[in-house]
Amino acid sequence: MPHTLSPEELYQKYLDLQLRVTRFSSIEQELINTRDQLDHELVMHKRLLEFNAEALKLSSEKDFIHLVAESLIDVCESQIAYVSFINKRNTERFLVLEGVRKKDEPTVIDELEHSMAANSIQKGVEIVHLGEESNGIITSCMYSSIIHINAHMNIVIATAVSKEKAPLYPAIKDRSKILFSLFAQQVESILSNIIIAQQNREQMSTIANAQIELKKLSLIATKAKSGVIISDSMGRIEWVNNSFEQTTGFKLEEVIGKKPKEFLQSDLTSKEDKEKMASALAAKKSVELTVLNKSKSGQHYYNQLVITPVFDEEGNHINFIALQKDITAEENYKKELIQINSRFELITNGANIGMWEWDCVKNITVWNSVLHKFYGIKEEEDLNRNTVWYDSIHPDDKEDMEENMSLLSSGKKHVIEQNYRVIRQRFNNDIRYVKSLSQGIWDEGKKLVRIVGSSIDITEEKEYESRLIDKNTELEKINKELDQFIYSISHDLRSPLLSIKGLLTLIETSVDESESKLYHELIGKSVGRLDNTILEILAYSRNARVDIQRDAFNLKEIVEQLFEDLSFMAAEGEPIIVSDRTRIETLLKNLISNAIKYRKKNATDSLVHVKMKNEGASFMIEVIDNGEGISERNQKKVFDMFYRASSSSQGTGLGLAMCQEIVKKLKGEIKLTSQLGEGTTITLILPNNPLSA
Amino acid sequence: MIRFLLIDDDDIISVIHPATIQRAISDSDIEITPSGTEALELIDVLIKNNETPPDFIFLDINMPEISGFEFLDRLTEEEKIFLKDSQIIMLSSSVNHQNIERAKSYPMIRDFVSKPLTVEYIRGLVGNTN
Repeated sequence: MPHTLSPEELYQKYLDLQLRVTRFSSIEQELINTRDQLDHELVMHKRLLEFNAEALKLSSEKDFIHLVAESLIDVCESQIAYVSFINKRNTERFLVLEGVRKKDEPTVIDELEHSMAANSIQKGVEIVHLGEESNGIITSCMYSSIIHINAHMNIVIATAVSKEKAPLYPAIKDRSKILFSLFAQQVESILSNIIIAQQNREQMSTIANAQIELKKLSLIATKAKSGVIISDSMGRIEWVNNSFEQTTGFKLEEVIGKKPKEFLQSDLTSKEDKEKMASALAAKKSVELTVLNKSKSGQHYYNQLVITPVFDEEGNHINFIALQKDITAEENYKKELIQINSRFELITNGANIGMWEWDCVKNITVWNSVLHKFYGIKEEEDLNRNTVWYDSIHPDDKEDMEENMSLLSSGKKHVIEQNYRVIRQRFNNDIRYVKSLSQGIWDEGKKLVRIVGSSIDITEEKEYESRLIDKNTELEKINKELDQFIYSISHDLRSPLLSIKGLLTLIETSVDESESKLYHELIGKSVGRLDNTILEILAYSRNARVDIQRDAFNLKEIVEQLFEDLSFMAAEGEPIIVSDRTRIETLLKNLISNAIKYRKKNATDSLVHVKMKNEGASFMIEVIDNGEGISERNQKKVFDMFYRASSSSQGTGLGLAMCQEIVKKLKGEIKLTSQLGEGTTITLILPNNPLSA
Repeated sequence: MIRFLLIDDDDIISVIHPATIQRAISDSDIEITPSGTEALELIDVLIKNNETPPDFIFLDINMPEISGFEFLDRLTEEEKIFLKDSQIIMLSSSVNHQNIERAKSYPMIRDFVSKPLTVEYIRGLVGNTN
């Protein structure tokens, strides 16, 4: 059913429609505006994209900054762009200005700089300046942003428009703000990329350089005479050099990924060394040691090893580098030396040779066991704290020793040979003879640093030598005596014979009977002398040859027998003694006959007095005369064989010499006291029963 | 007359030698001393009394106290001058090489002979000087 509208209704409808149209048109306008805006933004984004594409092609910071400035004007539709780039590390600063500039007139940029300095710009995008400047010259409208690339690098970007255009700016400010912000972000990221790329390039060149270095190093490692092993942090081999291959016989490809101990160590490698190495490697510490290793062919060799862990810059353990050297030859040499030394020690001990060494610089003395034993000093006693060596030198030999030592230390002599005596305090101060040889050792500065020496105890040789000398002297004396003896004997035997010969000649030509008779008597006397001499010689030799006899006899009887006409005899105690009767007889006979022979000429009171005293263990006999006596000068000689002190009577010169021999044999004493012209006393002290004494 | 001085300690020789000399030459003067010291004393007496020195001295080497050589060593200058024309003959019963060598070093010693002296020797000795 149709519906009819009233005019009010219709007017109302018109008004509604009118309102709608208005509203539509405003929506339309809005739509148009939005479309324009979108178009604009699209253009801006296109420009931004173009900037990106352009920027990515650039490598230098400087070019990039120029591009930023140009693009800023386009993107932000500003008239002026400001870009300041500060690199604190290398103090670079670029300033780029783009846009209008009136000649001789301060531009907005100058103002901008001025204001930025004044406001100490904060990070972020903000409007620094908007509206009319107080001085009325410039009005500008702009954004600025500080972009921190990193700690060392800042970029300040800013845009501005001239004052003519400024009034329009607020209308687009929000939009522009977004765009500017986007742009700033873009700049930041691109610049970061550029810088990273640059850093990468630097790193690349560092790496390239490092690779050259590494090549050099590996060349060295390859050609090195020492074996080189590079392993990973677990000790697995990554690389070995030629020398390693030669020493061990293993090729790189055989050992790569293996641990060296798996194929180099053998059962003969000492457990201690193995543990030492393992613990050092586990602790990632450097280790130096010599181990016995085995090559591929099974040959053992001494391996001097230096293993060093390698850490990176952050301190992470990366790998091990080991240097190894075959020192078998050195090691064998060392062993041989030790062997020689021990053999030497054996020899010196065996031969009883004392060896010593004195370090003059450190004052350290070392002795071998022979010397310790010789001085009675225990091995653990501190030689440097006692002066036993010096104190033991015989005082008479000290001066020589000191002189020799000073010759040695001054370098005047290099080797000193000295025989000296040692008084061993720890062996009841016995005296030993030592033959020593000392050799100085000087450093390059000619300073005496050590003295080494040997000393041999030559006491026995010395004693033997002195015994030999004594024996020789004795033999020489005996020889001389024998010569003298033979001469004297022949003289004493010849003298009477020659007399007889002379007398016989005289008798032959004698005409006088009484004269002949005298000569005959003299021949008889000569014969008696000859016989006497022979008897004395026999007695003398008997004393030397015949052993001591033991008889108990009465001394007085003997003396009485000796004195056929004994008138006086004094004896104290019982004169029964035990001794060699024949020898005592010979003694007394000689002494008494001497007293008679050398009585004073023309004296009527000549007397021989024999005194005896039995003292138990010994007995004394004194033969006292008042004869011509013996001068002091001759007293010493009278006991010499064939010495005759006086011409007053004939004698062989054997008597007293024989007495002395007998007394010596009986282990007694003979003493002579005499004064020329007064008389002589001979005192004998002889042991009673000499065999038991 | 020829003068002799015999120095010998042997009493028997001191009989034999003078007798031998007397057999050899008729005109002789013989002095005998038993030791070197007594001989020295005698020489001094001869000098003192201004007597003629002996023509021959027979000197035994082997004597007690001082030997024949010692006797020669002890001669003073005066005694040596006195004996400058005397001929000294050393006597010994055993000729020993050492003594011969020693005798050669004394220019005074004219001869060295073994005992006993013989008539022939003395005649030869005296004949040579005459």
